[in-house]
Amino acid sequence: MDYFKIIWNKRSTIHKLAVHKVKLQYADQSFGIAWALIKPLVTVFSFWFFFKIGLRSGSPVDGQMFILWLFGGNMIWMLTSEVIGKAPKVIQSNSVLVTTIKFPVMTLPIIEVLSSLYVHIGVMFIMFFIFVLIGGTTYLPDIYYLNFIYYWFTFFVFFVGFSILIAPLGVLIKDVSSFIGAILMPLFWMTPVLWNPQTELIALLEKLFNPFYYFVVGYRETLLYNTFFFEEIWYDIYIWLVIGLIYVIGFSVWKKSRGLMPDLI
Amino acid sequence: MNIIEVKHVTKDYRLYNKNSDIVKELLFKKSYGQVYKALNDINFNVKKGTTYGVVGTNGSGKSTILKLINGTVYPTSGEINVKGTVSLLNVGAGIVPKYTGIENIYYKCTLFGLKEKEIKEKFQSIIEFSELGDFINQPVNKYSSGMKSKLGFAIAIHLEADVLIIDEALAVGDKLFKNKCNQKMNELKAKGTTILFVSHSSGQMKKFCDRACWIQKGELMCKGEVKDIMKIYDSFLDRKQTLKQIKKTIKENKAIYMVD
Repeated sequence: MDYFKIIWNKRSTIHKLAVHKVKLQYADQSFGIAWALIKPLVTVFSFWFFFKIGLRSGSPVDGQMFILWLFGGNMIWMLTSEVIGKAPKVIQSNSVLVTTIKFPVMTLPIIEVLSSLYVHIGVMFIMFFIFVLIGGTTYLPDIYYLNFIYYWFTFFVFFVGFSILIAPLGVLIKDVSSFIGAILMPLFWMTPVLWNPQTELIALLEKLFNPFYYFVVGYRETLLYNTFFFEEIWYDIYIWLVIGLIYVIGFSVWKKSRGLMPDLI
Repeated sequence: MNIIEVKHVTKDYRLYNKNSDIVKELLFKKSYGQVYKALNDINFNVKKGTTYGVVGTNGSGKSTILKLINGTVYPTSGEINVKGTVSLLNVGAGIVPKYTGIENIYYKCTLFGLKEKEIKEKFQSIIEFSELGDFINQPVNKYSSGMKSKLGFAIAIHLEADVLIIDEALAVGDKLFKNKCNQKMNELKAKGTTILFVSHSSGQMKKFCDRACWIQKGELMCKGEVKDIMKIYDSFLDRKQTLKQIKKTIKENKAIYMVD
């Protein structure tokens, strides 16, 4: 509980540092923040090229334009993989903070997730225009876009917990960073970013064992299939239980390793 | 009033031969590493408004004690109480190399918890003090080591913390800048800031400090008036006395060498 109190008191500092991080990430590049938009566009178009020209497939998926279907899953997956990749390095990459200033180290995962999320949200707003450009007025933002607020919030809570669990492990065991790097690719293919579950069973297994699926499918349904997030309420409840579990484990890992961390950086 | 209290502080570092030993230790609650005692049962108090020196040869545990007081490292046992805010200035000065001077100012002030308005008020004054001119807009990795320490010092003193810790940071600045720093430190002193000054050289100590302590291989040798402590420390550095003789002198004159 103390943790949440500290965070709440520091909320404006956390926000400022997250914004600062975003600025710095793109500061020394001529195109600056435009890269945040260029990257997903290039990725999605190359997938589109591969499927459409290379495999001569890419017919409409459930009646939706294939390229828009690709965007739905890819946008959130790119954010997910960025945040997962950062998680084990959250503390080392901010070692100045940990070793020179008395600063609540537990806020670092929040700052990192938040800075990625800010960029993502900005890019999404531009994407909404691009969807209309590609798909026409059927893809104008509607009431279902309110879902995004829920998914952004849930994503934030989920991945802060995830980073709190992974970050101390990354400090104590240097292999964690390589391990995470190695599993990102299989995670990508095992999450239905470029495919749809063909059977009910696969969909169920994904829901139970792959929490990343929640965000991918949520984004797609919001963009293309006009569904509210609470239409499958058991799945939402299940995800929040998983989040709770991640926090319980994460906090206990953090508690055990907190004293050791500054000595090992 | 004691602004800093260091009570029976011991700090062990664990040295591991293999990285996997850390994992084993976490899993099995058995010790796999070797214990290195950086500090052993250290006791001293610093009164508000004093300039306190910590001397010792390389590797004696000076920097460890600063980190403990700064709150970035935790003691293995014992207790440290600091009443108020602390700002640490060490050789790296906590400056981020890829950020520009301006960004570093903004970054450190934000971390310290200053509000946007307060940062804006101080900005000009920090830039002027640092004497960096146009370099302030360049990334810090293009700075010379003197420039880095100027920036670090400029930021650290403008944070107006209750305790300012200076860890050998003035070693690189030129004499002109050093004099300016001395002047500024005297101003801070007049305002009632407590300054903790760390060095292996006794010359600087005598110039700045009111009181001092000497740490040798993790043990507190003596603490008291700066002139007494430096005299005995110098006699050790100049090899006029052995540690054994010094320890004997200290034991016999506890009223001089063991006072806060």
